[in-house]
Amino acid sequence: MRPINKLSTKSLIDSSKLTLDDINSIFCLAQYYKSNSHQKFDFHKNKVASLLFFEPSTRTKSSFELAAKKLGITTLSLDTSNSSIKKGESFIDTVETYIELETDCFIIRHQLSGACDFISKNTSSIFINAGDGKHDHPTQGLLDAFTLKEIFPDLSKVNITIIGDISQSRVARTNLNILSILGANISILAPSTLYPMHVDFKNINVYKSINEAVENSNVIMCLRLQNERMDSNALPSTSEFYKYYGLKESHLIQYPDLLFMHPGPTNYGVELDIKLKNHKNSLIRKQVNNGLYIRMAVLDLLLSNLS
Amino acid sequence: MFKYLEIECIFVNILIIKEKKPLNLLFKQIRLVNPNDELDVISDLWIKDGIIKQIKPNLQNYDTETQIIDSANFVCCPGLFDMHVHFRTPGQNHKETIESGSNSAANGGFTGVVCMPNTSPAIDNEITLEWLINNSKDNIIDIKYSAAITQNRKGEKLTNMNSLNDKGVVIFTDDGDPVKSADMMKKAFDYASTNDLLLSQHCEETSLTSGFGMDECELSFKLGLKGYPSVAEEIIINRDILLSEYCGNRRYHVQHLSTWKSVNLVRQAKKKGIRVTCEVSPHHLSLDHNNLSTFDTNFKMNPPLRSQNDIDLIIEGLKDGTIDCIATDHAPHTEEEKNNVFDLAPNGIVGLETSLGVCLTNLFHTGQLGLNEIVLKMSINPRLILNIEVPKIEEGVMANLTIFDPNELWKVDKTKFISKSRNTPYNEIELKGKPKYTFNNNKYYISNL
Repeated sequence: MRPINKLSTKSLIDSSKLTLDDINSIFCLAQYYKSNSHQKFDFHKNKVASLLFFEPSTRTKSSFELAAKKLGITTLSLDTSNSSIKKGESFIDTVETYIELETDCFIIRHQLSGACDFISKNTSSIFINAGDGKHDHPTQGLLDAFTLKEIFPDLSKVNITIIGDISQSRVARTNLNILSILGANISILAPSTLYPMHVDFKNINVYKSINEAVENSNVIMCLRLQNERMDSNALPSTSEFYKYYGLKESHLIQYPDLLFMHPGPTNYGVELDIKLKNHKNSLIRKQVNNGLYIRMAVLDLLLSNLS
Repeated sequence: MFKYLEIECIFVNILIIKEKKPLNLLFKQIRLVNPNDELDVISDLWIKDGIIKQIKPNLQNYDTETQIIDSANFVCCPGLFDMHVHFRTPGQNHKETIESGSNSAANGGFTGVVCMPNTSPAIDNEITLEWLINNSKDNIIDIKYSAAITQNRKGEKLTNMNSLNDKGVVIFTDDGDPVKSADMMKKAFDYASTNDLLLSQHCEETSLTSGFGMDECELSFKLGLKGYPSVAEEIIINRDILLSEYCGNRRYHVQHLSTWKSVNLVRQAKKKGIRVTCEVSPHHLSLDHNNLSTFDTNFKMNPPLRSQNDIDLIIEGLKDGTIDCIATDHAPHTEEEKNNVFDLAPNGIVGLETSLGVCLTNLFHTGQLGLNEIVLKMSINPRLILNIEVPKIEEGVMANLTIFDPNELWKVDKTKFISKSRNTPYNEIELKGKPKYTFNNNKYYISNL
């Protein structure tokens, strides 16, 4: 029997609205799927999931697609990143079209913050936010936390530092939400122009240098520089960013137990030293693999809530 | 479609009937308030044929057909005046028209408004202005016009300000956008000096605000919306105050200020004797930026809602006279336009039908301003800024009056709005204080709110 509990939410749109019970239920089921990774399931074989990606994606989309298929869900996929769907009206129209195609659950990525929230208020379907602008990306935060919890069952004893583009990154926001719910010790390191100066982060350390960060952390979470979302002129150069904020091989030599993560896609030589590509302390591949089970768990729980 | 037109015709007829009914009303025991004439008395007030026939305690010699209204709970003041509205004509009549906007104003207790020039085409030339003035006659409210400072509001070339002024323009602004270039604004101030014209500004340093969603604050980070830093407003106010002073102390009016530092800038300028005035909108004194937590586009406007601290210090500014008046920035948009992904929805909210209630609730009933001060901010001061005659409450003069109940509790129901648009953040909010009757131009209007 798979461990299945009712979630407090009908859709997964905003990671800050998840409860600790929700997160534990998701992790518990993800662990079940991970332990049975070679099995296929048919719990939702009559269900249809539509993947509407209004912004490019490699791993998230493939991960969701495979997760759905492993649960017996039929998937419909729309790649609009090359089309010019820009108006909200056509966004609603697109979703309504897929509702008529018997969609039970939408997986939506959109370049604008609040897009998933908006569409969920205008239709009654189930929605999973696969990234909306700078706002949120709940399954990324969940898979990151799940990956950490596999290594450190008690996150309150772990020091995690998020480095990079805090201002523009939805992954940063999501991780701040979820890791806070789980009680982790979170720190931040970012150039001032990529740091929200007007936010008073409670219970979060702010480091001044990468040396300070690596010295005091168990895990470094690198963020991708959000070139597509970044204010022009926020950084003088990526080389200067790498010099002061990039994680380098020397840091791992100095602190051999230090683990590191990256949500991908990685810009080597900007956020991470190319020499760390296949380093034993990298959790990057684990993150990708765990993403599959987290998404299976989320799909299963949300679709089970329905029936 | 036919059905819709039919309903609209019936609706319009009702309004016309209301306005044309012979006007013969006696308000018993009403409080008459006109701080411009230091009037604050309780008396009977008889209005007949659009004229204030008699003001007298315990008035007895009225006509047999006079309708008597028990008004012990009512206040009568010179008609409210809103110096910042968008009636969307020409170009966007699906949002509002002169007629729907005027009736909306009358329903909210206003007898006069100034329409902003960001129409399509813009009010930047004599022909558009004359057409508008001709289409704004015979109305219960007095519709005044602003005109753009620069042609097509592009910030590149001045409009014919002197002839626009001759034809009745009361204030110049590129509202919706600022005059971006300091050089252009300096030329505008210099050019305005000949006839001492009043220039006003939508104060926004746009290089700091492009793509903004809301105030730059903790919530803007959380929601992933681009922040509109308060300093973007303050930079332009500061620049313009310096320019006004440099160009010989020109008349300058700050539109819809939203931050506490903006209030300070105006306060300091006034202390120095610079001829600066300013307005605040009802929403900037009653709603803070945390209302945006659900991505509700009815809280999306420019300038954006700010912090509670800004609200508190804006109210201080109203109390000490730094902020001269309250103006709604009535900005109608259709439901279809507003019901969109946050970043794609237009800025602005309707305000004419909630303004009085919001101000009484948040300023009078909180003990911050007295009724006399509310009347100053909403009726007297905007007219004084614009050099428009302030209506009198005297026997023999035409009734240009607003009658309201300062204590009536009511719940805002946007479906009752006369405006063509319903984009309000106050729907279903309980307010204390409500417009009842509006008199002007030998017409009267009973509020349906």
